[in-house]
Amino acid sequence: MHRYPHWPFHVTLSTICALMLVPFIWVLKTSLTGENIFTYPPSVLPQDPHLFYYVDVWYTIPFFRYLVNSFLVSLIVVVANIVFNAMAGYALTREFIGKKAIIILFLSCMMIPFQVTIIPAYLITKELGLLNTHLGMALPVMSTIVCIFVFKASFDAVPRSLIDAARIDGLPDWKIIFKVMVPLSQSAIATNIILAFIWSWNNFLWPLVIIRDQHMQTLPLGLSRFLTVVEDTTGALYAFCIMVLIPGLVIFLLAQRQFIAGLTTGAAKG
Amino acid sequence: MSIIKRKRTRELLLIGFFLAPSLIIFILYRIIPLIWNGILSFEFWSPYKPAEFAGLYHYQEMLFYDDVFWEVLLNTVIFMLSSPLGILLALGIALLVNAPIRGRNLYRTIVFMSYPVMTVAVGIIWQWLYNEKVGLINYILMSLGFIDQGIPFLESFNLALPCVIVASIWQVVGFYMIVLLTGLQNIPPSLYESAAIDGANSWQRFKRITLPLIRPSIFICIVIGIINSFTNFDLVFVMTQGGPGHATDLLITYIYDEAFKLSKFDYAAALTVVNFVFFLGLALLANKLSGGEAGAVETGD
Amino acid sequence: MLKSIFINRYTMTFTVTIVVALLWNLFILFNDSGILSGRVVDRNNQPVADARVVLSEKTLLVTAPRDEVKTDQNGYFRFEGHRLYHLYLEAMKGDARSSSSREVRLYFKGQNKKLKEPLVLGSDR
Repeated sequence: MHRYPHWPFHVTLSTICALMLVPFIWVLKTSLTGENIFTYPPSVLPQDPHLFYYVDVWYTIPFFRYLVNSFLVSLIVVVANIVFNAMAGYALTREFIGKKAIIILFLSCMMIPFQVTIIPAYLITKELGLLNTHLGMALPVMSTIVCIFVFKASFDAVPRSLIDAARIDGLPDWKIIFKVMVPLSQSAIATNIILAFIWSWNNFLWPLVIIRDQHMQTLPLGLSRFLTVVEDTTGALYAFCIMVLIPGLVIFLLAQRQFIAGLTTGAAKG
Repeated sequence: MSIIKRKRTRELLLIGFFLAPSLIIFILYRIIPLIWNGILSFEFWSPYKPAEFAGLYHYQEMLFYDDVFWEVLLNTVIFMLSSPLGILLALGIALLVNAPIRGRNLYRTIVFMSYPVMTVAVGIIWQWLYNEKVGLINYILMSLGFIDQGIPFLESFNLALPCVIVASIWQVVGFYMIVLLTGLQNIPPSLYESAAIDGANSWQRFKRITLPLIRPSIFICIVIGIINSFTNFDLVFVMTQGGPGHATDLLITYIYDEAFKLSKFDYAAALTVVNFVFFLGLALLANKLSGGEAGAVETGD
Repeated sequence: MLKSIFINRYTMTFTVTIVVALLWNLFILFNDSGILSGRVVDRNNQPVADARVVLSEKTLLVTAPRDEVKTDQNGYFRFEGHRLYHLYLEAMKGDARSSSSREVRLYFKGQNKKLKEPLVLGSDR
């Protein structure tokens, strides 16, 4: 391994990274200048950058309203995910009759992509009276099977002796969970928060199906509508893109280790 | 004895209580919809009239009279068959960033960064890169002298689908890379060392050690690719709305259009059944080929 | 332990975001009286008294005149209480002498602003 020079690696990887980054950089540049390809000479660096396209977006559509909607839905999803998945994950560490059946049920649910159940899911949500509500948007994704197994693995890793010791001390179950289990599974919690947030933040099809009310739109819906309403406003459209990308990207960059760990455990688990 | 039994009952109650929320959600939004969907596909039904038994009417309609169905099915298959390209690309990148070079973590981050971003925004960005008049791709092609006039990529019947596929690969390649990288990192270095001592060259080492050992990871990627081709709604919806004609419509976008634009819920349900059976068959096949190691994967969106 | 829970990069990012947003809103609170002032001069850089200055709203969706004032004897004008963020200013005196319109973009609705460059009457003729 060590015999090879490193520079071919760097050249190839830099080229690939440049290709991956070009769309991002170009969008950022256009959002700051509004200039397109046909400003001559085309420049890589933005000329006269300004933030006024962002102001345009903020006032042209009820951006703040969409932002609040997106955040509320994500908040419900994240909180519900942690609580429900941790509970289910804990239950699966215990022995009980029918455990195998439950696990098989969960695993087979994983093979049902949500997209293929979208029509009855819409009808059910309608029956529940949750069309056009935050809860309706959040409900189908309030628990994630991958994360249940992430929690189960994390709880399984807690040494048995520690739990037994706590039990001998007479701690009730819920106290064992909060005093022993939760502190030891911080990384599972972090993974779950990040996965749940990014998934619900980017979710598009489900809100598109159940939201008709203008005031209940989330950012992805607003973005796709913006595209059809104002076609010529290049600068503003890309400013909008940047504004919706930033929260997801920031969270990802802060916590990429947990994010990747979560995705790969999800992918590697049978 | 009875104390132990009571404790046992309490414990069972607790377990039931803990499992309940997740179970309710999955039964409500996965199991029941799946069954309901199956029933719906054998009925005449719309929100304004009562259900009526239809037998195989919708399936006959779909298989024998609906040319669009065959077109979107073909598109979905093409979309799926393109995923090995992305996986190959990702394998190359994974091998590169697995080498002990400086800055490899930065490279990994950059390649992976396109995965967690919002697909709607990705669609908008790529739609504009492909634009006939102001798109970056046309500009570069023209500057290099390959073409004299902009190509309307997304309006072209032949080019639209490959263009959407390229955008999709751009977004998912980082995810493939991460999965493959995890596989690569699980290979014990001692294997390479002993192979080197035996005089195996790098191609032999790749073929004899690397490939067999990352086979599970490759199959996971294939399953992800299959899932992606059945669920990639956002990108197509934003970039082309399935157009021109139905040139970029996938099964999932066609189902959406039939159900929520045309209110043909019953027919869309039949489409969904076909979609699901097709998907399940492929996923099980991939699982079997990989020796059961590539389990289910959830991409989440 | 406590420290690592409450002071880490997540909470810091979150806190900084909240603080910046609060400061920004505080700044807006004290600077959104919609005061827009400036000067009108002629081509010889002499102040023009009694010129009409028309303020038009310009957004992605509409363009329409919204307000009108006259300059004082030193050529100064001042709008108050507008709620716009993207607007055009046009100065005119009589019929013939009209300056080309000036685009003014603000960071929030009704941001107070003093134009550094005066509007020049007759500059487009």
